[in-house]
Amino acid sequence: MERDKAYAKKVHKYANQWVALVGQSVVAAGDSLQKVQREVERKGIKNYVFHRVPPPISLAP
Amino acid sequence: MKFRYDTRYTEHGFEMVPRIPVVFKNPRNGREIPIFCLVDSGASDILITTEIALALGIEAKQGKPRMYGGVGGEVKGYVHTLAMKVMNDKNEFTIECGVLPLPAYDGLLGQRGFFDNYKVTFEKYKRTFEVIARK
Repeated sequence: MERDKAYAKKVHKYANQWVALVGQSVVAAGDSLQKVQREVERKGIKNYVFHRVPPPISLAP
Repeated sequence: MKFRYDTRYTEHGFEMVPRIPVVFKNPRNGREIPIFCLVDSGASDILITTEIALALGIEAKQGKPRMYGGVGGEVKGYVHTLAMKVMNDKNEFTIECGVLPLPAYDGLLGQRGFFDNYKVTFEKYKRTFEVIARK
């Protein structure tokens, strides 16, 4: 659980941004999905997933 | 496939949320994009934010209009037909997906399209959940 909390704190630094994740590592980040997509392609990263990090508040869809 | 709950930091402490990596594909041009989506049994549809649609080469407003409601009020979305699969799973489904501005989300996996096609078992007390494609 401590490892997950450390990961959550690390990702929280990117609140409201797009990130590319490989496992629990942030391999690219930016203000737009397009920018992050270009970065992972440029770096030749594989097996990534995109995520827009939500703000640090409780969410009600 | 079994997944661990994702941990997120909030001003009120840590929360565990069920997210899974999903690959959306635009069948018209073959473009794919992997998104870490929230499994949301309270959402009517699969919903993606407009930026993802753009990355798939979709012009949101060319879809069929549909109104969506939430605690923030009503918002107009546009429904498009996409293919989706859980990342690293062989089963792919054709789904209808609402495209709309989602201020705090990237993608939500709701009842129509996702829960229609997957058995989902939440075991939050174990910090895990399971997602199995229907036969």
